[in-house]
Amino acid sequence: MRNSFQKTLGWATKRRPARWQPVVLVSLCALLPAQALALDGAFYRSLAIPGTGQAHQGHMAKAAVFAGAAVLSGVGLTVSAVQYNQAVDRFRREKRALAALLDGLNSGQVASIEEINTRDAAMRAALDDADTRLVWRNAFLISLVSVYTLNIVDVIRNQPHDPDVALRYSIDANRERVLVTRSFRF
Amino acid sequence: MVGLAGTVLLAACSRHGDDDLVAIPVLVLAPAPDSVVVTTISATEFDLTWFVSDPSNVLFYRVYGSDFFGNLFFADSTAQNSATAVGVLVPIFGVSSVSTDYVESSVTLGVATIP
Repeated sequence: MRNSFQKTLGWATKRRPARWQPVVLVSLCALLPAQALALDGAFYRSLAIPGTGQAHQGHMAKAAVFAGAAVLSGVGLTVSAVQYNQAVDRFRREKRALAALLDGLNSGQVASIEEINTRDAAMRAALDDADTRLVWRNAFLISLVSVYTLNIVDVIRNQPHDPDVALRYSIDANRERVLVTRSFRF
Repeated sequence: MVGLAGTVLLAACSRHGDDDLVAIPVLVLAPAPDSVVVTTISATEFDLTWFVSDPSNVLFYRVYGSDFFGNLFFADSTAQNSATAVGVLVPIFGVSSVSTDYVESSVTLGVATIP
């Protein structure tokens, strides 16, 4: 025997919708496919580790590609982030040294023009280096996020469709209210 | 999820974007000395002579000695630009000028030749 009932999880109001309500609505819409994939487990596997969801679905080649791309991007991100931090530290060190030289001039300490120019050039070179390494770090970051996102999208697209599961949540929205309904079957 | 959150956090934290370069102010520079000559050599000291093209911005001069490996070391500072006695017996001397902003010029070398 199969019965069903509905439970209202949302809110109803006649006031003007707050700014955050559309954000919540979009988030709830995003939860619908996630809920549909919950029983299979591939979605959560890919959510945890890229490629494992594809492996769970039996697509080993795609799993290897996603996992390899994620590892490469992750390692590249880690290395480039460390190098970027080192470049920033070097830039700040050179900057402090130059500032100390200039402060010394104000207090009557002698500094050679060669040393001032050398410190200034080193500071600018360190800043350029930090800029370059920041570009690399962000490139690896974009790569990792892209791989992660494509991995999620891929596992969703290849998810076997189960209409009974997909219809567990429904959303009814208009200008005055947003109604989220969850159906229970037993 | 933790990794993704970490990377997003990493991207949000640009560490050097707000740092400005240290701007070097306009400094009064003094010309480097020229024609550093050892005029007198005695048993205990040397007399040095040098010239500068424009001494108006010179606050004082710094005299260096040089060891046999070419490393300069500070020996004396003086406001005079001629007949300065230096009590360091080394074969190579260096002289630099210091401007009123305390910026030191490059060092000009002079070699003591035994007459």
